[in-house]
Amino acid sequence: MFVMELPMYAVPSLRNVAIHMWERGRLFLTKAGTIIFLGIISVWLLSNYPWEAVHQGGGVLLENSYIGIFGKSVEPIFRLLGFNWMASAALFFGFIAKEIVVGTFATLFGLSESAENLSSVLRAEGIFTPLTGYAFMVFSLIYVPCIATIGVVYRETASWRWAAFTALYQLILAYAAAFSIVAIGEVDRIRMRGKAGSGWMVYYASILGAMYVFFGSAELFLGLRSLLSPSGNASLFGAPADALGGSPRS
Amino acid sequence: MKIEVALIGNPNMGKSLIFNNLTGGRAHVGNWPGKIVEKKTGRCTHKGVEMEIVDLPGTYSLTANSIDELIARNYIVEEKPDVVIDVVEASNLERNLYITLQLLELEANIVIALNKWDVAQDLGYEIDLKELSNLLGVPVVPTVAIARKGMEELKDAVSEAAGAKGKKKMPSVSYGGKIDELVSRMARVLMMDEELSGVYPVRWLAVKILEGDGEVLRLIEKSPVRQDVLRIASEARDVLEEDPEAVLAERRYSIISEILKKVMRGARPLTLSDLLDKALLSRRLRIPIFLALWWALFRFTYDVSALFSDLIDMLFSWLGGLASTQIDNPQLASLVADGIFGGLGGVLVFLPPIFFLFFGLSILEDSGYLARAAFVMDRVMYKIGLHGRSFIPMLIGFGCNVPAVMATRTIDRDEDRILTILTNPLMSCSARLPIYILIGSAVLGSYASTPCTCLGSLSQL
Repeated sequence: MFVMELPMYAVPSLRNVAIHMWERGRLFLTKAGTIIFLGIISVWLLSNYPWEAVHQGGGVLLENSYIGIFGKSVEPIFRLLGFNWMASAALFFGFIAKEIVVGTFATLFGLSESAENLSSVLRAEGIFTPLTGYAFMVFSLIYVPCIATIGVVYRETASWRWAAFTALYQLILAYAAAFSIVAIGEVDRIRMRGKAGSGWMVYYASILGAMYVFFGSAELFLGLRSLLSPSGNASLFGAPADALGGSPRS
Repeated sequence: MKIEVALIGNPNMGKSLIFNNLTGGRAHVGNWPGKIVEKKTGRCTHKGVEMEIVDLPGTYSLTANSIDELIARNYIVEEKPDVVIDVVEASNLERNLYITLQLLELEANIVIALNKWDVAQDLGYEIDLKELSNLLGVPVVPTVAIARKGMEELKDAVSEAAGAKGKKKMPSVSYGGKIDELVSRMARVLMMDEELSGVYPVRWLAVKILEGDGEVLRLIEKSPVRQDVLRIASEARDVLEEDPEAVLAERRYSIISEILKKVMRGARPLTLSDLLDKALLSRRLRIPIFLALWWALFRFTYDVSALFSDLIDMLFSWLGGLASTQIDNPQLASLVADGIFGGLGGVLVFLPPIFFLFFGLSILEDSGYLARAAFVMDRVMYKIGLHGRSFIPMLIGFGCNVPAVMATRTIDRDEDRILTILTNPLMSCSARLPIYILIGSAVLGSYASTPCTCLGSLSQL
C-alpha cells in the first residue's frame, strides 16, 4: 500500500527555504557555466560563419550562416506548426539542453545591439502569433528530452531501445499536440471570419491541447502496458495475471 | 506456564521502553534470520507465568512493502505468538489504530498498551477505555512507559489473554457490503486449500489478495484454487473501479473514525492541521485547490522575478554594448558581445524565475502541502495507469528529469518503473521554464501565467 505519512502542517523555515532555493539556483548557474556556455558558443559560431557571407554591406544576413542553412533545411518539417527557421534551429539546439532554446534566440538577435529585452524583440519581429507561440511552448514541453536525460534513461533501463523510444515517442507526441493546437486555432480564426485576437481561442486551444495530451498519453500507457506485459493483454485493470503480478516474467 | 509475547507498534511510541520495562533491560540481541534487521528478545516471569518477549520492528502498517513490515507480519502469521502487545499512542489513536485493525485481521491475540496516557490526559482527551475494549474486542491497558506505570496491569492482561487464547471470538473487520461479500466469497474458496487455511487466516489472505499484496500472491501461486481466487480479485477491480488497496485503506480509516466517535468524549481536540486537511483534502475541493495553488505558484514566480530579470538583462546589455565598442576585431567583438554576453545573458535572465519557483516550491514542501499533493494525485496517477509511488519521481522531474529518472529505483515492479521512466521527461523541468516565460510574455503579454499553469498542469499529466 502506498501509505504515506502526512506530516503536520508547519510554518516553513526561511532558512530551509533559502537553502533549497540556493541549491537549485547553483545547479542552474553551474549548468550555465558549462554545457549551456558551450552550446551558446557553438550557436554563435554557426550563426556568424561563413563570416563573409553573413556580414555583408554592414548588415547581417543570418540566412547565409550555417545555422540559417540548417534551419531553412529543417523548416519545412515545422512549417505546418507555423515555426520559422529560427524557431526550428532553436528547437534543434535545445536537444543539448533546453535552456539553449532561449539562448539561441538571444544569440540570433544579437541582443547587445539593442537595449530592448528579448521578448519584445520576438514580438516586434513577429516570430510567433499567440497561437504558434503557444504551440511552440507545448512543443518544447513535450519534445525530445535533453541529452543528459536520454543518457540516464539508458543507464536506468540498460537498453538503448527504451532510450531511443523515449526520444522518438516524445517527438511524435509533441508534434501531434502542437499541430492540434495550431489546427484548432486556425479553425477558430476562420470561423471568426479572420478577426484574430480573440484571446479565447488560445484558451480553447490550450484546453483541447491538454485534453489531447491527456488522452494521447493514456492511450500510450495502455499501449505500453500491452507491450510490457508478456501475456499481451492490453487491459489496464482487468488482467489478473498481469495486474496482480502473478505471471512468470523472464 | 511459558508464553510467547510479541511487541508491535508505530516507531517512537514507547515500544522499546515498554520492552525494557517488561524484561528489565536484559535483552538478547540477534538478527532476524537472513535479514540485517535487529531482533531483540527478553524474558520475564510474572505470577508464575514465564514470558518470552520479542520486540518486532516498529511499523506503521503491515503490508509487504518494507523489510520491517514483512518481518513483523511474518512473525505474527507464522510463529503465532500467544499474545501480541500492540503499543498505541493514546493521543494519536487515529493513526495508531490502523495497525490494530490489521492485527485483528491476522487473528492475533491482542492486548493494547495505551501508552503516553498521561500526555493524552494533559491534552484534554477523554478516552472511554471500556468502550474501546468492547468495540475492538481486546483488552486495553493504559500505560506510561517512561514512568514505568501500568506495567503490572499490562502483564496481568497479557497472562489473562494468553489463558483465553482461542476461546473467545474476535470481531472481524467489516469493509461494507460489496467488499465484505467479495472477501467472504474469496475466503470460502481459500478455505478449500487446506494447506493454506491451516496456516493463514483466510479472511486476511483474501483481503491481501484484493490489495494485490505481492508476498501473499506468491503464497497462493501453487494453490489449486489460484485461478478462482484471481478471478474474484479481477472482478473486485471492476466492481470497485478504483485501486482496491486505496479503497480498503480508506475504509479502515473510516472504521477508525467511527470507533473514535464512540470512544473519545468531550471535546476531541482538533488540531489546526486536522482542520486544514479537512478543507484542503476534502473530496470536492482537493483538485481545485491543487490547481489554484499551482497557478499561484507560477503567478508568483513570474511577477516577483520580473524586476530582477530586468536588472540582469540591463547588466548584460550594458556589458555587451561595452564589448562591441571596446573591442576592435569585429569577429571577437561579435563573439563576446552577441555570443557570450548576449547568449549567456539571455539564459541567465532566467535565474530569478528559477530561484523564485524553488522558493515557492520549498514553501509548499516545508509547509507540508507537497506531501498532500502527492496524496491528491495518487488517485489520478492510478487512473492513468501509473503507480502512486510514481508521483515522487514526477515531482522531482519538475526540477530536473535526470535525478527523477534515478528516483524511480524505489518502484519495485519493472513495468511500473519503466512506465514512470518513459513518462518522466514529460514533466516540465526547470530548464523549460525560461521558454514559457520568454514566449509567453512575447506573444501573450500579461496573460502569460495562465498558459504557464496550463503547461505546468499539463506536465502533471
